[in-house]
Amino acid sequence: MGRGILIALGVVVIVMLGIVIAGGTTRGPVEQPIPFPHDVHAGTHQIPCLYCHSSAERSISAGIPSMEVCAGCHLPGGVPLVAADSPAVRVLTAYWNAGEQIPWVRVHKLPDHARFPHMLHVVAGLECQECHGPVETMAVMEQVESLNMGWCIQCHRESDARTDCFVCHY
Amino acid sequence: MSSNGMERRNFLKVLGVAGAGAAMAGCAREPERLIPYLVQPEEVVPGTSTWYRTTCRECPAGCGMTVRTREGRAVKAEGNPESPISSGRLCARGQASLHGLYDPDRIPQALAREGESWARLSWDQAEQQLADALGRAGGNAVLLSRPEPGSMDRLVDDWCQAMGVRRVVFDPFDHEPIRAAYRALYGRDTLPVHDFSRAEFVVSFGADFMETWLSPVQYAHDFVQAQAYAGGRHGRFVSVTPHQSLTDLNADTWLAARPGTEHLVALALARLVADRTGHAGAAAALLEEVDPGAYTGAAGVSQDQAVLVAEEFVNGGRSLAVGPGVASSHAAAVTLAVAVVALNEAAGNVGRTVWPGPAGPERTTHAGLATLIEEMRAGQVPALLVRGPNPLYDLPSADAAREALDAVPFIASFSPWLDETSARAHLLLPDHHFLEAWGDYDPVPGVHSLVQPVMTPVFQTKHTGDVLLSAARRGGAALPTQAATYYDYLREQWRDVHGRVGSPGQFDEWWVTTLQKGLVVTGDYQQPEALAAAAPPQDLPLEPQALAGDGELHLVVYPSYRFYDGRLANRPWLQELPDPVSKHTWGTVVEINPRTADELGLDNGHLVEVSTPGGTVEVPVWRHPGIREDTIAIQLGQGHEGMGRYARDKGINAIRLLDPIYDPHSGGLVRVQTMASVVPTGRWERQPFSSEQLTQQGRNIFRTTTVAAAVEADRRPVLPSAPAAPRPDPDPEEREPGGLHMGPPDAPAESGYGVHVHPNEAVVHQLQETGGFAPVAVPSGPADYPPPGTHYGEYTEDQPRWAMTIDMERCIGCSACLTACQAENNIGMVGPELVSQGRLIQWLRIERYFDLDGDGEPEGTTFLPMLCQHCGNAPCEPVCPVYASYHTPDGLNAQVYNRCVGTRYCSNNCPYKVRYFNYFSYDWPEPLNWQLNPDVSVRERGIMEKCTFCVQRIRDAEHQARLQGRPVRDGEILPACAQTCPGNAIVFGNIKDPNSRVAQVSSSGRSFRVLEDLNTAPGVIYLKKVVDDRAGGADL
Repeated sequence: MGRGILIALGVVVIVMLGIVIAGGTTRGPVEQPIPFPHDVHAGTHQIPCLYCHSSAERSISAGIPSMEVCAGCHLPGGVPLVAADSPAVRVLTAYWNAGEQIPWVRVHKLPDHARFPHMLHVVAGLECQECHGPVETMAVMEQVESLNMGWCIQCHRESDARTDCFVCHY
Repeated sequence: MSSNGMERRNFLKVLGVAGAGAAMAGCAREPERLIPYLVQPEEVVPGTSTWYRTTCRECPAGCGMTVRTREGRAVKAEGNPESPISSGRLCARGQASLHGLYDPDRIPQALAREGESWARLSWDQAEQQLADALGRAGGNAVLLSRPEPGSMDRLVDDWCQAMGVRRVVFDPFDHEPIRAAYRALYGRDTLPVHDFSRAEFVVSFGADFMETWLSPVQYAHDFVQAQAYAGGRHGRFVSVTPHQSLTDLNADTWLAARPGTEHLVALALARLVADRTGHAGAAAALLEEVDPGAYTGAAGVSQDQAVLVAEEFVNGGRSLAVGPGVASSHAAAVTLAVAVVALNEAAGNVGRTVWPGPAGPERTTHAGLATLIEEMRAGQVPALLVRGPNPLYDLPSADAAREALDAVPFIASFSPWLDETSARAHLLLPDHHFLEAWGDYDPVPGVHSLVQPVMTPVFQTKHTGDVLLSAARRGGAALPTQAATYYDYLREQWRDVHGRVGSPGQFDEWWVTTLQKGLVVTGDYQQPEALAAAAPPQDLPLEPQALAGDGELHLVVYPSYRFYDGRLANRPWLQELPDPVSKHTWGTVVEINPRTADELGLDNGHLVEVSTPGGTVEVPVWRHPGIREDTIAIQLGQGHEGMGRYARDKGINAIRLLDPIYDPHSGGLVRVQTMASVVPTGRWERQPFSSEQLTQQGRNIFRTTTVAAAVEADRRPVLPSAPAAPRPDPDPEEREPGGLHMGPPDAPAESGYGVHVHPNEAVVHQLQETGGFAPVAVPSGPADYPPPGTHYGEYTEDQPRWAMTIDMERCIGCSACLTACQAENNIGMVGPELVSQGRLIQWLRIERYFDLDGDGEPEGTTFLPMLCQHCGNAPCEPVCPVYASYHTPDGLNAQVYNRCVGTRYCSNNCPYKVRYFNYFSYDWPEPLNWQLNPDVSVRERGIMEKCTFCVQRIRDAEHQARLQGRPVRDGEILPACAQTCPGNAIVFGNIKDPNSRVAQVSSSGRSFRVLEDLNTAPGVIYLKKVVDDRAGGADL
């Protein structure tokens, strides 16, 4: 009898563990087609986030920098310049010369029924790191925060922002 | 031991399942890719909209258009406020133009016929084939196209000249009778220019000027401006027609003339008016012969009424007579057109509200096209190029047209759709949709409107202008232009416009600013020309036109508001848009007067055989109170054999019931030509009506008033500091059985306010003070507002209360708002089967209520746009078990899709029936899904949805205001319905702000709220329609 309960409990724990491992609220580092070291760009070289993700302060979407932005430093005028001998930049050069885009793997994603206006959060003075983690230390980008609704609401409550459903869900 | 083993096995099994689940969940998550731009276009910021100005080309009106694009895709069409044609508005057809752009049945690339199938061609091959075929044709080829005033007409003319191709210009709705009359009277092949904005008294003879006639958006906008109640004045509109279309339903008086006699009424009115003004003009001799009594008698119209109309036509402010339209193009339509001119001349309207336009290029009439068809049949046309017209569909004699097309060795079609004619072509050269193309269009004198691509082409199509230029190069023909592309040609042409406008500065700068504006208006726009008319021709038919055939009912065919002449039938939004009059979708009905239907034992949905000498069709019945008992009517535009999946086999093509009879005076097709017999088949099928309700059944849903009562109500002093008191619960004694309080809401005794305080003012204040929360009676009094439990969130009292006013005086029932709503809010199209099961999803619907007298005769019609009322005390909210339906602090009644579990309790409890349930997940076949608004969630099966007041637009305005550090401005938020309304009937804003337009409009003496006695405290405030006292109006 007692053992039965114990085993049942064990099953529940293991099933939940399985769900947590698979569906996880956070994910590990995500490999990209080209290793893009945020730590070098945002950390070592102190390039502001908004230099590349320029629409974050005026649009709901932060935007993925166009290939032209990469080429602006690494291949100005088609001539290799910054870190020209890095293997990753060579791959970048190949993409650029072929006129192809890098198929980045998405790291942060909200469900389609949740609307997150980046610009309001940037204008409100939030640091990008508050949601995206210490990006300037990440060699490989990963999701740090859960990005679930309770996490959003907690911050909204603390900062006296609107918590009405219809502010984000429509 | 054994039991332990079992447990362990079970345990391991469960462990295995859990592990597999984990692994599967891990695998199932295909990484989402983010593809950056290679080079990001300057004007594109991801996540924000880019707007382009262009010109709507769905009908010849040429409304200015503004198209919203997101990440390079067009997602919403709106009017261009700079355009005097559209005034920033669009009709339903313009709204649905995106469905033409993303039509999944468009021809994807150049194709050549290979037996029964099509072979793909590169554009190089296709153009070479075209050039070769034209070379073989040796100067006998024909180009059949629509009129396209502007650069395209000039290029096509030059091209035809250089290539030795004969150009035939044809449009099925080209108003040949009016052109014939203007040729005879003014010596010009032209159409009249109207100024409805000054016409306080309008008489229409079958001209559907709010639907398809000439420039419907402009006319509807101007008509409402001039006619709607304002400052104690209310215009008058009289329609003379056997069958009421949408335009005629807006008339104050309906003179139901017998089909084929409208010209007699017009002549009688002209005579009566001329007698009063003493100005018969050149038509004096003609009017001399007119006996008003006999003429009105022959038309079945009371002479007394005609005298009243004539009196008012002279004395009732500026007047305007219009006609004929497609629905009144009978054998004496030229007489009618001449009589309309005589009527306007006699009243001195020519040069004030109507004047002849400048002479246009040569057109071909229906008779001219019939001649071409004969030539083709005789093998005299070796090559035919078709751009626009669809003779196999447009003409009554389909067999003749089919034989003719079969006799042409080479047919090339530029149509983007595989319509009936292009399906028989040998070479398909699909043109761009106008939203992908460069071009221009001159809708009326003085307006030069630009067409510019709003996105890259969806398919591998090519601009016809470029194909023509290329074919000329390949054929070695010398064009009077050096332009390499049509874009170059267009700019070349606009250098002339630049010179004519005389604006200083460089062309390139001016070109960019003009593209941003969308059009140029020059000095000759709306410059009236008071031209003296010549005497009417002697040989005009003056007798009533008896219709041929031995049927017992007159047959009227009339244009479709939704599909125009049928060219727009493959737009699912338009198919699912309920016809503004019959409320029928996805098909055709025959409209029969209820009394005639009773005699034949017919109810809505009974299938009947309608037979004429021209043919027989089987079609369901709709009982239309606004049609003569001896007449039936069928709408044109449906019954396609081709075009695409949405158009094919929907309804019938009424033109098939007609014989190819052409008016010798105008060359136009005589459309009101035959009697028809109606034979019940005994079968009945459930029809896809959105509603079969004709009247409001005395429920006092909408209210009307009279001019005198409206003036009186507006005169009552409005006290801005009126106390905010909750509306007292009506005395139970006064309640009617069933709990509905039906008494007049304005009565001081009931409202509880003194006669010097307008009762609605207090209602508005109630909303303003409480933020729209639950204005239920609480024992402790108004000071305790808002009552505990109705105040969610951590909000302050300075939240706005979003509200809307809808002026029923300005609503013409055109349903443009409805299509705008469908487009903005990703509303699924359910198809005819589900519409007939009542599963239509339309957040906004137009209730069309006839006001029938005791005998069932219509005395008037009211259109009531019905959408979510965003009740302050919403019945839907407390019944939702999962809080999906709840009230937001800014006064919106919200539906949270991700919470909804689909119990439908909310819909059952909604007295307005404005909540809609997704019985299925509806799909948008590629590329229709490209149109989906990225700012609105796409709902799936099992979700309840309804009007959100376009919350995405509210939030966007709030975001922009926040970014700029300012409050949201009044008028900044325009829901899609309000944005497109041609009558400007809808006002939206924050009703808590006493200076906002919505607060001011809602303070009108005409304001009321639908079913307000249920104490729902709606946030939508309606303004009563003003019904003419003479037409039996009363303050209800």
